[in-house]
Amino acid sequence: MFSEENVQLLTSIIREDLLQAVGETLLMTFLPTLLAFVIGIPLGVLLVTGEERGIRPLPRALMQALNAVINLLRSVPFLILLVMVLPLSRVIVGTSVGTRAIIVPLTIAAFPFVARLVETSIREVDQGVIEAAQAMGASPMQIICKVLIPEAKPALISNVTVALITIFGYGAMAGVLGGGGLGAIAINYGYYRKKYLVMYVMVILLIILVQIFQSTGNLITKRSDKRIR
Amino acid sequence: MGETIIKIEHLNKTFGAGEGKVEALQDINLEIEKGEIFGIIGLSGAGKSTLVRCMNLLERPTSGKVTFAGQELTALKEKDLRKARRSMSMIFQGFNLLMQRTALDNICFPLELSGLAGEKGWREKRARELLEMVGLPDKADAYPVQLSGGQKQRIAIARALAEYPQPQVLLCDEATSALDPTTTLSILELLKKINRELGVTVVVITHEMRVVEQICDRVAILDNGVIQEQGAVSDIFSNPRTEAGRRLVMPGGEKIHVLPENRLVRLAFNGAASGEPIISTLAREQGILLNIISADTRTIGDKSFGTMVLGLPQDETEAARALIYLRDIPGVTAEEVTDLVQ
Repeated sequence: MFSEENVQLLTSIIREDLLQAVGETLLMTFLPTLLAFVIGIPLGVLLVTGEERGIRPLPRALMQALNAVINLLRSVPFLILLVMVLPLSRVIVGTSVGTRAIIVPLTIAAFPFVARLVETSIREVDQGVIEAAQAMGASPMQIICKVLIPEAKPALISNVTVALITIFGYGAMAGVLGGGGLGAIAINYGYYRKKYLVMYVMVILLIILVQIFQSTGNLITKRSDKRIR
Repeated sequence: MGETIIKIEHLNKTFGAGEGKVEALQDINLEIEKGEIFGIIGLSGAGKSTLVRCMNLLERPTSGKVTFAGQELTALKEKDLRKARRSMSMIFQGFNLLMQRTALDNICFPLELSGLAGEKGWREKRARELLEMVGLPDKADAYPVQLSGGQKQRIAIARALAEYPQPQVLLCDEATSALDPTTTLSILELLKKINRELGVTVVVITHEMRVVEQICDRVAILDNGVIQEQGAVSDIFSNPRTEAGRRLVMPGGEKIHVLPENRLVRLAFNGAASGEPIISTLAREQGILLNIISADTRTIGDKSFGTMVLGLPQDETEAARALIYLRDIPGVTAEEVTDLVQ
């Protein structure tokens, strides 16, 4: 594994491709996470507030449809979803290969998951506080914007970390189908060309990134939570 | 009689349907007067919390009418109802403060909601005045987690009064039940002060006698979803007329160890007289001897009240004479009883 050839290959990859690969990995992680939350927050809130006993009940059929769609998208394995959605990428971002193309399936895979994470965070908000706001004459929209989301903020931030790491994992997988980033290097050299040294080094870099995401996430969650003295 | 601020007419509330149907409130009729402190007392499960939630329509009554300051709440649209709720605030057993906001920002919250509250500077000024009033001027920047239960309730009270114009009614749902006795007293004092100085009508929901004794002018006893009796606290507590009332006023019950053939009479003292002299006078002047079966006196406000159950003599004429005598004493109500609570 540590033959001169392998070490040379690794150094050349590190020198020439690593910076770009890390950049692609970060882009493939953060952009879909952001987009998934943009879609997932309203959906997650709706899943709670639209319930029969929620603050703004919605027609039961609509809620059932919403739940069904979320469950359906969540039950398709990511690689299959990738295959199914890549043609759509051509329509949306103009290409079906590379990092840009992968953003679309990553977002579609992530938003139903994020919607569920948001749902559980919002559910944690004390019913009594919602009742107090109602007693003060708050409208459903005010309760969402001034009570539910701010009170759930620490849980939401903690779930951003969870989503980030999951999407990061999906991104690495996307290397198989022409995605970019560290995952693609690991798969191309390690799996297709049996250059295990390159693969292990890429995996170690992935591990380090996950550690950084998690500890930063924990720190921000803790800082933001005023329930901790 | 003052002006009525909250009027409840023939209110019913039912939860569920079919076999699991629960009649939480049945034919409730209440009139709460402007400026008074009105207590609603009952054991847990009696429907108190549901009743208070029907006043601001957090719970919609199944039937019946709720009128607040001349406005029929039960007929309002959601949007107008929200507006009406701004002049009827509420505090809770669990305080229900926003945990992610400072005390000051919690107090500003209702002003932010109503939107007509102007700039941040004005809101904060008002919030600081309220902090001063509830006695916590130095806690502006504290988060709820850093406050004790009593302090949290003070912040909640300040928040409840923050709305502009100031709310006319403060609904207190078991507001002191999570607090220790000393803190309870101080919170009750604060409620009294708010009532006196700001003229806010206070409705107190509680299962604790001492809360009603401490601050209420009038009280309604709620039992099993039905109002058993209502009236001035001194009347109800010195002479409860219903079984539910007696159970609450005398939680230990009146322990009766007397032969069943003895007729019993209950005396209620409303502060004008007390027990022993009456018994001894009766013995001295009329030669009639009465047994004291049970006695329970307490001090409410600055008057002393009490009830006493006496066993009448076996002899019918003596018993009748004793009854006549007792009924004639000013400040004492005497009634024959047959259904003592064991």
